[in-house]
Amino acid sequence: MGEFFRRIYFLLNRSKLEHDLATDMAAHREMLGAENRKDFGNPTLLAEQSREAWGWGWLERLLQDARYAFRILKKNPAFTLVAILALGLGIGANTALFSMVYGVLLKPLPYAQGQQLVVLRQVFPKVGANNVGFSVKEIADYRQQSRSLAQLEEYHQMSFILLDGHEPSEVRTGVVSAHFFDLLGIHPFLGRFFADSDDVPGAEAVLVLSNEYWRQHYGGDPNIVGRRFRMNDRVHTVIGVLPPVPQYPRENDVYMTTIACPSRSSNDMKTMRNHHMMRVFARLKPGETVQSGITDVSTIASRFPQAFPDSYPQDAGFTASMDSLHAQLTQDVRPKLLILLGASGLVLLIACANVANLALARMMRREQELAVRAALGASRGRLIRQLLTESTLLSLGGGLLGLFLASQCLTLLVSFVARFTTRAGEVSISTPVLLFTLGLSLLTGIVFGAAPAFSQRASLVNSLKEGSNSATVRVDGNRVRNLLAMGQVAISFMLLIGAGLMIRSFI
Amino acid sequence: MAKNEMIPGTLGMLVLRVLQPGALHGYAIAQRIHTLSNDLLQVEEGSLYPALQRMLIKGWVQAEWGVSETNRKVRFYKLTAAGRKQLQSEMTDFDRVLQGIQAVLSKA
Repeated sequence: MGEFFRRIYFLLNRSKLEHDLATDMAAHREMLGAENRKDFGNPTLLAEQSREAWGWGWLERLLQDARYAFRILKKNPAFTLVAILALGLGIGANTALFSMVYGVLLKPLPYAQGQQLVVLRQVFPKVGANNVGFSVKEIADYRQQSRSLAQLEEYHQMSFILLDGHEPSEVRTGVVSAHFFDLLGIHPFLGRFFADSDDVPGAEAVLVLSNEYWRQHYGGDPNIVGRRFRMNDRVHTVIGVLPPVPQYPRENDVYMTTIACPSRSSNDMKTMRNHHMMRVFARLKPGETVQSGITDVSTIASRFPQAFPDSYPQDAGFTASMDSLHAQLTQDVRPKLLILLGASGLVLLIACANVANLALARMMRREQELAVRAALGASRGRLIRQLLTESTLLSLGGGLLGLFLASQCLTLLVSFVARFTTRAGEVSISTPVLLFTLGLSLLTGIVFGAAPAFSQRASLVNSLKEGSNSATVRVDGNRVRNLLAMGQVAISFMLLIGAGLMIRSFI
Repeated sequence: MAKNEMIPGTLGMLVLRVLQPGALHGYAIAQRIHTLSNDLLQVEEGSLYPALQRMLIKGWVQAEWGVSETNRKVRFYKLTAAGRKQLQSEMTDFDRVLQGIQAVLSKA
């Protein structure tokens, strides 16, 4: 048994061991007394000092502080409620927004080596076209000539009518090259994904269903593989179902290979270099960066205007580029989320200032209590810790309320964010969000608790002398409160202007 | 107070040493140190019990219930294998330091 476990043992059996220690010391005293020596000292203090050796003194004091703080807060329900409500609103807003920021901006893509996934784009900067799609011929060129890409797959979205023998329904269809799902590194939930043989002219048309579509329309039927549907006057056989992962770049109901899409397999589409309809996703080779990838694809693109002058106007400045998939999916929403997070941070600051003000006002009435405790031997540090424990307890209460509020308004926020990114579906109150809320609550408690805790009089004894109805107004206390009020007004004003401007630009 | 103060850091070693022959309760430990030192050293109870708790945590001693000479239920502290090793190393260290001090005192 190591020292660590022994400490845990002492913690768990604290009351029994305290009793044992007291028995030992009582016997010791008795034997001393038999010799007429009585220099044992203060037994309570000695027992306390001995227990220090167990290494749990801090925990004992923390619990003691927490119990006391809890009693005090229960005795002042009005103050407690107002403080928890104010902090709850502030922490709730921050929790909700952080869950957005985490789910959309920070969390890695749920795909194998998601940071190596890129989206290619072609640009004609001189005619203002920043994101032109790719034609079949171009895709073949990039696939053959690129040195930085391990894999390159095409994608476009169509809307087809699907006949399953009951009712015709319109399905969002992703048309992809054979190894699109392998590119993302996902594995079939049921059946299999496309193979090379599914994407050659003359192959039988096959479908992969999205997990959601399969659940909603076929009740999660485990025998779905092999079912035959009619689409575009052809029989399509279901070969697999996607796992429940978010779909990029868009949600689709079903996926088919390029040969099954009538417009993609038309002769025009296959031969015309300027039929830019497809999007291209790729995976960088290990060691390649987005930067080296851009150099690579722009080199390939630079050869096109010379080889095919008809398809690429000389003065359009044609070239190709790429972005990481993660950046591409979140670029629209990033500034909005960060602004909102900043604003909610300021709201929390206002809440802190408000509660600090309340606490300061209450401190004036509690001075005598603190003076008595100081007179009984509590050090200044201990009193500060007591007050910080109280404020932290309050802010943890606020954190709980905030978590509740955040979970209530999450759907609203998700539908807002969904207007800008497909990652919105990945937002949830996850472990990192819970940790964030806990950290934020503790920080909040310390921030708003600091003002009352450190504004204590250096000499508390004076307040004992002031008698019970001390009407003396403290100048320095007032200064702190004035500063807090000024800060609140300033931040509120800033938020108000910001909100006014944002209403114009957001909606 | 004419009490002879312990050299800081040596109490633990003395406690371990008097426990080497066999288990003792708290009061007996203090007594034994007092007697063996020809009444020179006085163990303060305020240091003895924190030290014993520390040794329990470190695993150098174990406590067992027994009955004292005054017929009282009390815990006897017993040296463990780890305690014996600790005592050896503390005594070796102390010897070295003592030799150093004596060398300085005699030569300077």
